[in-house]
Amino acid sequence: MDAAIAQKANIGDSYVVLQHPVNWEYGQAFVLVTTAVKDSREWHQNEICYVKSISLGDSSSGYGAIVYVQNQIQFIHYANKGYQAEVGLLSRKIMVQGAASDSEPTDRDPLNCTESRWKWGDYGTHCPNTELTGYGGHIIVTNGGKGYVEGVQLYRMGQTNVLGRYPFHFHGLGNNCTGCYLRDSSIYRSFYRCVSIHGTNNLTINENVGYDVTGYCFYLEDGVEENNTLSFNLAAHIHYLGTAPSGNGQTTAINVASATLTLPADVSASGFYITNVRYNIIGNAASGGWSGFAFPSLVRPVGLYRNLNIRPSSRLALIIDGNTAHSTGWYWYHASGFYFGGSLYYDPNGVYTYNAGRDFTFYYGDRPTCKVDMCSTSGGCDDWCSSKNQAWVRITNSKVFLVPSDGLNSWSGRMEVVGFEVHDVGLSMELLESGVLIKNLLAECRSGEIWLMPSSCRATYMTGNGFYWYDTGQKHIMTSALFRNCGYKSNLFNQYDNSTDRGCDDSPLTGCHSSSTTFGFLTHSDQYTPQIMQATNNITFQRCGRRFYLHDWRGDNMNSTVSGRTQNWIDTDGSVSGLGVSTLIGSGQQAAGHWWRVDSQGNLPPLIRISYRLMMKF
Amino acid sequence: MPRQSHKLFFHALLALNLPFSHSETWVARCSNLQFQFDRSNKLAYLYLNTTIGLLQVAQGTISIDNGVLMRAPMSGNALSFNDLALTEVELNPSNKAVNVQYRSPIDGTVSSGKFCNTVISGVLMKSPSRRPTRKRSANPSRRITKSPSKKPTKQPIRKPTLRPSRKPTNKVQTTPTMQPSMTEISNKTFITPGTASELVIIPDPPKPLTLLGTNRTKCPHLGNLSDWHSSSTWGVSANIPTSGQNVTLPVNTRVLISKSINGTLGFIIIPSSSELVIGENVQGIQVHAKGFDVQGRLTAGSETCRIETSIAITLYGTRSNDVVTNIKPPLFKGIVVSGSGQLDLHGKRYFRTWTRL
Repeated sequence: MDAAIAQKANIGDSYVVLQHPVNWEYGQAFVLVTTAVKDSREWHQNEICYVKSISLGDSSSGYGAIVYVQNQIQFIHYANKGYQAEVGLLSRKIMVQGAASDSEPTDRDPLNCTESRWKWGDYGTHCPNTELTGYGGHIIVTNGGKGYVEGVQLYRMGQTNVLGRYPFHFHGLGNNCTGCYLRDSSIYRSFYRCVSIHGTNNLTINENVGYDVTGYCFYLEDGVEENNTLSFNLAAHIHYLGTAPSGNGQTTAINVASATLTLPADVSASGFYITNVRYNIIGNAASGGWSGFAFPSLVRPVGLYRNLNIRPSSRLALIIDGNTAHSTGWYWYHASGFYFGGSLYYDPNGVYTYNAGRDFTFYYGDRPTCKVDMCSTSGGCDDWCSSKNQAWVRITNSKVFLVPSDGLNSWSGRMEVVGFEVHDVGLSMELLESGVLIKNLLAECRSGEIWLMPSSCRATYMTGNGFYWYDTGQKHIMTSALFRNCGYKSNLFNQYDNSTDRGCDDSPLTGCHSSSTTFGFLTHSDQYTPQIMQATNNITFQRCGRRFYLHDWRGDNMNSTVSGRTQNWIDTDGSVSGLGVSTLIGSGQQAAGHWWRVDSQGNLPPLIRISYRLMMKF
Repeated sequence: MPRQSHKLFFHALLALNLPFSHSETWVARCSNLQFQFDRSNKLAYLYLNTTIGLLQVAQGTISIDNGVLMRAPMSGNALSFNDLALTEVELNPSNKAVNVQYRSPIDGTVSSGKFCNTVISGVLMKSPSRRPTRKRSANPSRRITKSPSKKPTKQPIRKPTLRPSRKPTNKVQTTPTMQPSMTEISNKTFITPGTASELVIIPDPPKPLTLLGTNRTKCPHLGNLSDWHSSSTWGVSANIPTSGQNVTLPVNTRVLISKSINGTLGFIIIPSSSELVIGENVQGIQVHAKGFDVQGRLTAGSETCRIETSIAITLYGTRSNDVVTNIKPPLFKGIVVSGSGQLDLHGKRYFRTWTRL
């Protein structure tokens, strides 16, 4: 943690210091976005400020602008070398709004509800079946129309659960609104989404600020929309409908459409809803929501376009670059800043269904990205994409912070995550499915900043895990990664680093759960003995606590299985083992036997030095 | 010699021809790159022209400005052009040349050469007024070491006022009495866009050209329009629309709303041959209605004439209990743009619309 960053906003301050100059004006409203870990309607630390005056910086001042405010800052908002709170202008010269008299919901959330589910020590929740009657105005461009909208404030717009009635809706325009845009506008206090791109291509949605929004904010409606650009948008304080999906394992409750949940996926409403990755998604920021950027799998389009012959989940990304997410992933261990999961489909009875968690049909939730459009082949959309045509969804320069669960989670694999930075998270990435390239990773599990959250919560309820290896056939490659302050600090685990500020400790404000580790293994591995499951290269550890942890899910009273003994990972340069030479890292448990002997003569695999004792010890 | 074969582009951008005065910015374009040397602030910028506008990719401080040529070392966000990192740029308008130094990514050697030939124009731009440099005092830095003791309030304390309480001034007041707060941030480290991330590169939105001093042109409300507020617009027997009335604009007519309309209108229908234009008024312009059926055009401002006074369009309509299953027609509490309809709303450009602490 930096001792003194000028931009950090403190309680009672009368100004905020911004990185960039702004030409905002006296009296304008802006949102100072939270840097608390939890962001929910009943507990959040976003705040609205009003401009009093502005002092612009210059090339020598080190800042873009100091904005003096008419109010006093109520909460701490962090700015440190890893992450900084967003500050978004809400006011515009042109406003389109729903009337004050007939737009606000009449069933306001009393903001005092609790539920039995434990979330990091917290039981607070949205009050059930409230805030379902918001009825703002709406704008729809449809049936040949054109829309060129910029510098507009959309206030009290959108109609909760009313299909097609959003603050701004590009509806069914195909390629006929090429060049249309919504940009440098704001969507503030929306009762249903921010902007829906629906059956329309080649739009630009750029530099908008969405704040206090029910349902997904930036929303690609049916999964058929492609080649649009979503750039430099901010989405903050997003409210789900219904009950936020959660569960103890990898699954959650299944939701279906109803009169109080028109889109079943709104139970996990997030800043960005990317039903088809064939987009330019550049420089956006998400705060709050069930996740930050939600990438649900759609095996077929939904809604109006449900009969169109494409498979949205097999499409390939254009550019997904430079996006950040924070203060999200609160409601579930597997939710995340970037969530490649959740499946939206019509079940065999035609019921509109959303599974927010891992889809164990491995059909609805799959993401069989393919260079060939299988839908246009004789085999159809669900035909096998041959291995030579398989392709990866690439996301670059992403950052996640202040998330008690995962930085990124993909239930569907087949990705390239290049340039990924996390600070203050439970786990950098959760990648259970196979075939992910992780290149240039910075995982700072704890930055030293105090985790801002409800008073009953403890940082020690959250893990500070660097990375976990999971099942068989995972086939990940990780190259150039730096782990900092990951892993529990304990004298039992000081073999690699015994500095006093290593890892994370028992502090309820800045610490981590005592099971936390830099690298973890599960005991689910029972194939490929001793074929290499995954590989790493150029891994750096800075002030890390526990480096290895074999998480034995068998429990104490179960027989040993081959699982857990065969986990094997080639540390190509020995930068993880610390031996400085290629090292095969795997289980050295007594029960494992000498599995690493490759033949009956007891030879070791060539060029690989066995360091099984590492695993025995830790 | 890199990039000599580039197709040349030149866009007249308020170009003033030589001789250059000292208050202007030199602009040069090579293919999809744009160089801007701001002489008064001694800053040089390099922009990439992308499908979403100009993207700043590098910046430098002008090291030489002798009136004939300017030179600036450049640094920036992973600037590379065919893998060659530019280290210095020179603009020489007399021989219409952009010269560069560039560094090989392979062996690090620095070479120089002509980047392209192009017209280099002097452009007058509004430069931000420079504030006097303040001495930093040595006050101890303030830090809060405890977590907040207050429970958060649930809702923003104030709703935004719908209309400005003061006449718009367009200019932010700069208040010298605010300066003492500077002591609170002095002696602290500043996060800058270049240091805001440790590893990843977060791109910046392109800086809009309209902030670079473009005069407003093609203001739709300044043309020859029929006056909404004049009975002559509404035909011989008709009156100016009043509260509760549905309104259909006369065909083949451009109608201007130049001040607030009292009361709440019904549905406003703009036929395909007509246009409803909302103009500018320092008092602000408010229009209250149940909905807008835009078959023609609904316009406020244009891309080159961003509206600088406030306009508020307020939509009315009550939620019915069965609205989820029995959705109202889109005109209900909506602005519906269809057929040959076109919606053009262009409010004042704020930049940035958001940034970070």
